[in-house]
Amino acid sequence: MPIDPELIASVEEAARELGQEKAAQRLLKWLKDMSERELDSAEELQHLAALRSAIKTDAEDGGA
Amino acid sequence: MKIRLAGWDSTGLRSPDVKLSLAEHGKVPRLVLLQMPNGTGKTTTLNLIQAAMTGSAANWTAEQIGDLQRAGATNPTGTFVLRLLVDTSPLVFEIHFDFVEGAAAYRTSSPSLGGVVEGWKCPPTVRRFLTESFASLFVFDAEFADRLLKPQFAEAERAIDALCQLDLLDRTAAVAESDWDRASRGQGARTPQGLNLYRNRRDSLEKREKDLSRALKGLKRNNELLKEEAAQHEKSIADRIAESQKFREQSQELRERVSNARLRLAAASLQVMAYVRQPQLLDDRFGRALIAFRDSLDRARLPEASSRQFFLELAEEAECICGRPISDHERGQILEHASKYLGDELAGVINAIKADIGQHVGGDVRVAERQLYKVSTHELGAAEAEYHEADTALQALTAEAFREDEEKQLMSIQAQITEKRGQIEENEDQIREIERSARSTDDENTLCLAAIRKQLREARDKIAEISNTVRMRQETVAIQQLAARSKIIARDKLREVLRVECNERLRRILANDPIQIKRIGQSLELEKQRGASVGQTLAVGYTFLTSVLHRGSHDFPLIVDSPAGSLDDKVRREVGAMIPVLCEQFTAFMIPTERPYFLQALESRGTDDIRYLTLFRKSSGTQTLIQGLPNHGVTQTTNAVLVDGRDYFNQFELADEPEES
Repeated sequence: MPIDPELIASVEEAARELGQEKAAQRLLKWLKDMSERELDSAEELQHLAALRSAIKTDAEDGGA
Repeated sequence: MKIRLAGWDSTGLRSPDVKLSLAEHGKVPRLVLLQMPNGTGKTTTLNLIQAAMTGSAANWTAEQIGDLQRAGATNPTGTFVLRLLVDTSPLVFEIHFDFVEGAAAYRTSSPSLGGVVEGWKCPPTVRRFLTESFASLFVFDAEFADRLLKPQFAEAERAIDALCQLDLLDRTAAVAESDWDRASRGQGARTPQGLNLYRNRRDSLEKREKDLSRALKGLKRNNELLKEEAAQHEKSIADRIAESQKFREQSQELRERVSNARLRLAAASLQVMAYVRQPQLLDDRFGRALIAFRDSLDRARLPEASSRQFFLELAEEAECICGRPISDHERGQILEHASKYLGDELAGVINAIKADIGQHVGGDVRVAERQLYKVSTHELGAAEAEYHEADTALQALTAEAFREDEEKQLMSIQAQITEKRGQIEENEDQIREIERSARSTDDENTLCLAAIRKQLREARDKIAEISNTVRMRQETVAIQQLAARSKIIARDKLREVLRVECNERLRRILANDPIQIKRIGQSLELEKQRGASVGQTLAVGYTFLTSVLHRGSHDFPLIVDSPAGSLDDKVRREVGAMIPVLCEQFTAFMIPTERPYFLQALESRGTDDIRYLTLFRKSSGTQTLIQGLPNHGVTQTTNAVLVDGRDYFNQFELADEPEES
């Protein structure tokens, strides 16, 4: 079933607030997939990896 | 995905034995009204429906299970079977109650599970919805509406979170957390503080490595200068000695002798070293040990990859390599035994070792070479003696020259040479310490450059490892913040949207006695809540649930106990008119006194897809009812009567289960 338009708008708004605009679409894709079917563990981790790669962090690589 | 209630069977339980089938050709009625007098087991049946859907009976206590047995009954078991349709596919949960053991056991059947399986097994497609928390939103009684208004239950928030799928955000946060936990398990430092510790260590090791490299370079350069200076001083001494008439010739001669002896010594050393590399020439015991080693190796074999073809081709020859003719018998033997002589590629190396030992150890060659080795050692001894002799003579001459040097200039130069050699020695000690191999005891204060570089490599590796973990943690926290913030914003938005929508509907439903929702938080907060009647409260609850269900586009069966029980006439009309649009399947457990106004309103919405069922127990008090049963639509079990039909439904007047007489 489709996810609520207010939920979509809220994720986008929260992402803007937190400076994670790029991550919003990845999170929404995951939520939409979850709302339509039961995801297995591998599929969840795939969504998570995509989301992680879009997340902005201030971690350095340590110069190593 | 839609879920439909297709029916249930109850046997040997507190509720009457009944087999209720709502589905015909895969279709269920939009409205099912099941009329049961009080005491017939409405609440028990609702609880069993929820337990079958969610698997919760597996956790019930023996006392809870014992309560399901009919009072005074002695049957040891009871069974409840719930039939659902998921889209058009059947899903059946069966609970077997053992009253003796006080235990409940499930069986599940579904085509997606491959038939009947033991235990409560929910197909993945509906697992998320068939939880106790979720199911209570569509299987409920009038008390649920009341709970919606009580903050301690937080039912309004739960309904919004579940039906508008805000819970999905929690799932993403949980998956991120468990992924990070799995990835970082077993690692030491996982925090920015831990990372900083290693970065500081890396920085200090980098500085130490630079300092030591620079020091090594300086020491070597310094030594070159010192050696150069010492050589100049030595030359200066030699020149001064040569200036003396007395020492000139002898000095020159001795210097030439020393120089030649040094060359002879170097050549002899090289020659001896060449023989030392062949240990069998040094001592017989080395030779014997090598022969023993050779004999212990496998029998000679040929590398199979390159040699198999040799035997194949040999077998085709008319003559063997030994010159004898090859007949069919020999040909067969060659092919049969070839594999005995073939080995892997290592065989080539072993063969080479064996051949070398055979060639260099033992026999005349060995005797001759040992002789040469002995000659070269004699030569080395002689060269060494010659060098020492010449050098001693030169030193003696120099010493004599020093003694005769009245101005002590030579002594002064020699003192400088000695000092420089001392410095050179000290520098070389330090160079050796810096350039030695790393030891396990070396710490970050060591002078050993190899040990510092090893520690630096380890620190960099650790930083890379922790950086990855720290970055992953930051991502996880960011994901959780995004999910949590999204949920807060979504809740606020949905609460306001639902409040406005509900209030608009309540103004219509309760036109004569309106009540409004002031705020939706964890619960519903009403304007003038204290004064709200039970009917108003229920109307608010229905309105809210209707709105949330519509918003979530869920297609679940709504199963309600006493939908109009506490409503006054007006509100009954309103609620009755509201129900047909609540959902695609509405099942109500009701008593005859709920019919007035409610039923008319329900039917007035124009739907004729209504199933009217009346269920009552067989008892001495219902004998007259049994005698007056209609000719059609009646199903009887040992302890109950089920009548299917609108007319009987409307004329049934037994509000309470009569006492046994």
